[in-house]
Amino acid sequence: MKRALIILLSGLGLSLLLGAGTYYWRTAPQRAMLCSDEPELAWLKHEFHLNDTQFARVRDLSNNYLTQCAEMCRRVAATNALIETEIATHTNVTPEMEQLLGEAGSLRTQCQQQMLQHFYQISREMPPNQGKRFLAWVQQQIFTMPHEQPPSTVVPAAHGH
Amino acid sequence: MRQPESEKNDVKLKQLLGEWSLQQPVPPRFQERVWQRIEGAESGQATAAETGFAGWLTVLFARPAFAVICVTVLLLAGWTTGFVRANRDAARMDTQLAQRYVAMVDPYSRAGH
Repeated sequence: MKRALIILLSGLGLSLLLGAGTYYWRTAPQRAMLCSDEPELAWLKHEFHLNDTQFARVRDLSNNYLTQCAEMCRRVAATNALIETEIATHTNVTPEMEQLLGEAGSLRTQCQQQMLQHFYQISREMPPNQGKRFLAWVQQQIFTMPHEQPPSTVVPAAHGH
Repeated sequence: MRQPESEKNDVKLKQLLGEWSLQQPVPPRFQERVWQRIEGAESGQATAAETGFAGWLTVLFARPAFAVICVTVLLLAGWTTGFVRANRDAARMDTQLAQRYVAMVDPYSRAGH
């Protein structure tokens, strides 16, 4: 009886250790990314298999893009605030309101153009097959209307993986 | 005078014992049963519990093959559980990170625009 208990308890203990070890080994990359200084870019590096040189260029491109993006955000927010004021002070569509809506649309177009340009730049820094995969993914995430396809953040697996 | 005769017999006996071989096949699990009997004799009378579930367990785990299979099954169960849970959590964390990337690069995916 004692021997049976020793075997069973040892087996259970080893089983728990193996399960915990497997869990920590398998989730280590994700946990490391979440704890990194730039989790979003760390994810990009991991997901699209970038080496350190490629990642350094992607980081520079991202930082440049985010600076431009912040300026666009400021302009979009200012235009939206003006539109809100116009809406609150009038009971009908005014020429000023039409102009502001036109500006908002124009800003949105500029923003999307910059974003698309940024994605092309990023994809060029990636290995070719990963670059294609990245573009397909951003197209699905950002340029597909919600009613066309349900949103999903799952990245399509690369061929050969 | 009798001592050399006795020694002579001992030599003959040893020789005979050396030549002797068992023709009868040993019954299955003979060695295991012998050890069980020795253990039983050492621990005295079997208690009531040992004749029930505990006794059944003792008999089962006395077989090395069963013990090995049992530990292997436990290890496999532990590994599978760890792997399945890790896959699920890794996928969840990947999704979370992907959403954060989209929110970072697409101002229109964030609220306020």
